Amino acid sequence: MADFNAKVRVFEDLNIIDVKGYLDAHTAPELENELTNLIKSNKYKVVVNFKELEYISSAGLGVFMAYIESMRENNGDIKLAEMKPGVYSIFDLLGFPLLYDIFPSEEEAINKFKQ
Amino acid sequence: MQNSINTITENKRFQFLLFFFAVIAIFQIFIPYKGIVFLEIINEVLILSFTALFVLNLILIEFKKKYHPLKITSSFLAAFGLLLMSIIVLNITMNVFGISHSDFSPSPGLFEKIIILLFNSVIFVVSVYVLVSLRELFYLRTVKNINTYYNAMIVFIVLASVTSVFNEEAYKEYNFIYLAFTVNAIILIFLNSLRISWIAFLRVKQKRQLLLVSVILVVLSIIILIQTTDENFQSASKSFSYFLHNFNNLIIINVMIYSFVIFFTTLFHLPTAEVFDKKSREVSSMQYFSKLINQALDSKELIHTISDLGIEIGGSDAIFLNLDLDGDSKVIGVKNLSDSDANKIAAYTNSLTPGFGVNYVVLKEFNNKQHPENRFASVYIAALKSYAKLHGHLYFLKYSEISLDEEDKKMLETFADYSAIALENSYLLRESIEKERLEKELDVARKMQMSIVPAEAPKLRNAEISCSFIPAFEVGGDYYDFFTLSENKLGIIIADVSGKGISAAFIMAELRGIFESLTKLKQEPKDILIFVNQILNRILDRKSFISAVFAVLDLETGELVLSRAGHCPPVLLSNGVINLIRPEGIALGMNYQGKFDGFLEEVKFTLKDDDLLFLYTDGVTESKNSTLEDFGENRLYEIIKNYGDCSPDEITNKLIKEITIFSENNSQHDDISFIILKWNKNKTGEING
Repeated sequence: MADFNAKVRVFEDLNIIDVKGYLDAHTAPELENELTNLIKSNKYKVVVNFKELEYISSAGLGVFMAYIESMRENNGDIKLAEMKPGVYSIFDLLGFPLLYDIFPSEEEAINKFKQ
Repeated sequence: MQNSINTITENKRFQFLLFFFAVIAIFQIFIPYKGIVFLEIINEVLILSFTALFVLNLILIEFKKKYHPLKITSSFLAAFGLLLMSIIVLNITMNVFGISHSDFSPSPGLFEKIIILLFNSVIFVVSVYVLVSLRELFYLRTVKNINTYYNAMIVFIVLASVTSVFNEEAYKEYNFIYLAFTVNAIILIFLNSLRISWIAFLRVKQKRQLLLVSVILVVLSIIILIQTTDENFQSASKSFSYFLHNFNNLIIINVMIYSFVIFFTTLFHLPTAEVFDKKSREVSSMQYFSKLINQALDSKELIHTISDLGIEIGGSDAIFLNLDLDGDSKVIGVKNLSDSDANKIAAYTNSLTPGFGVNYVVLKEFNNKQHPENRFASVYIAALKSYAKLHGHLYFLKYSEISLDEEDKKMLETFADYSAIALENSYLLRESIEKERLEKELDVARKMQMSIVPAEAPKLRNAEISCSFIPAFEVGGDYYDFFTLSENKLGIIIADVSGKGISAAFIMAELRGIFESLTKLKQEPKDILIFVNQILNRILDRKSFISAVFAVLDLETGELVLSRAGHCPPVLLSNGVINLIRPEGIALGMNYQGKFDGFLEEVKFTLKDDDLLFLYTDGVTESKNSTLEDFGENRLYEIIKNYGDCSPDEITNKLIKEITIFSENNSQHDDISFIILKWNKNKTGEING
């Protein structure tokens, strides 16, 4: 199976996760780990950069649903940015844009936090 | 029962022997038999048969059977010590009470008789004990049947003992009989004493001990033999029984010869003992290794075995394993030391030898500075490596700083290698069991799914429906169904539960129950989906959601009402044109705070003749080819457009064929399901009418 990779960067008071490859039921735990670690260290403002993500399955989408709620309960959020059209259409189809903030660029996502 | 019978007879035998002894004691003390040949013979016969019975009894209860030969040999020291003591006590008593040896014979007083009885009892016990123990040693590790030699020896010892009376002055002319028997007995004793193969199987340490024991035994035997020629001993012993006197002498000679042979054999064995020791350990370790390999089933037990065998094979004083488990190292299988000590030693050696370049570490510095209570002086660390994969390390601890030679190291390394393979096997086995379990689980899920999804499309007036469901190996959680809402209304649901496997299949099953009951109460797609969402709040976890389309078709008018909860938009082919029906709506289970209800829309339109409605899950468009390219919407729309004139069943076949060809070199990741509905009111009307 294709690989997946999640790396956390710190930008000011935000944490940016770069996701790469294929996010599905098998690779989702890796992303869940990163998000759990952030919550453990009380970091609730997160931007996920999808620039290098090739594919996301329903199990991958589920990760965001679970963690966005946790972040929001603590006055934070997960904002999603820089999705490829194919990836975006999956989010779009399920109605994610109606519930969560999705931005074309990382910058816009960061700015949204600053507002 | 068997056991109790045995103990009863054992008891009876013991009682009988006791009774026998009492008879002899009474005979000795109260019957003045001296000088009366007939009575003297009776006395000898009594003692001979008592000895025989006693020996047979001891053999029968498997006396000393399980003892180590070294222990048996050492016990002779105690027996001979006792004999020597009793000789000394006899001499002291005779001195103190002024008894001369001539008082013992021919007519001793009562006091003398008691002394004689007690003294000879000791001789008797020692002789019998040594005889039976020697028999154990003779029969130890013997391959060939040596019964004949042994029995001949016993016969000659008894004959020599019985005829020892001819050695006396009175029967001097028959002396040759006694001598012949004695010589034969001694020759046979010597021959039997060569059966000492058990010495070879002793450890070096034990051989050294045996050497010492045999020297002392030889010396003790000689001292006692000299003592037996003393007049005090002779008269005290002979006045009791000539038989016992000589019997005892021969037994002592036996021990002396045997010890002598043991001494020289052990002496010659000693230089090669260490090598022999190692070789024999190597041989037995081969058995251990096969034991290891066979223990893959239970990894806990396996680690226990590795520790046990490691101590034995390595000759270590303590042992532990430091395993790499999912990136963390963990100390387990700790034997003969505490877990915390093992952890400290592991941390220390690790700090010394990053990457374990060094295998042998002297713990002197560690003990001095960090851990003064540590008892171990050195540790040998062997890597647990199999198929180039490192599982961890084995730590062999020793009290001493004995350096290991190349063969020792090779031995430990080989043991570690075998252990690593056994560990690897146990991991693999666990994995494959887990995999099998998962596969069985998936099997159940697939069967469940197949039983939930209707096998056939309903037969309708005015419309033709075809549907297809191809489950993925991992079970995708696709679901579709048809419900009769009222006489004219057909409800169609197509849904995709997020996630895979048994959990998705369970949610599917629940979903079916929910729709089954809700469609009896409600007729509007939007109402139904909103209700479903509310119910799902109690069922779904936060990570799960369900995309769905619910459509209601009026079978008379062709009016279609449809709501979409985050699902792939249904495709409507009308007049050769593809239309996507995409009312707003988020997936079920994504929001329970009213947002779902708020966003959900409902569309309504009327189907015309030959209109084709295509409902599907993303398994269709996400089918992948060998380069991981999606089948995609465009290919789908193209096929629907091209085969729009065909019947739904024909289109189904074409589509499945196209998808199969497209994804030929790639496995199916998700369930593929779709429903094709064609409205043909007037056509069927024509046929029917």
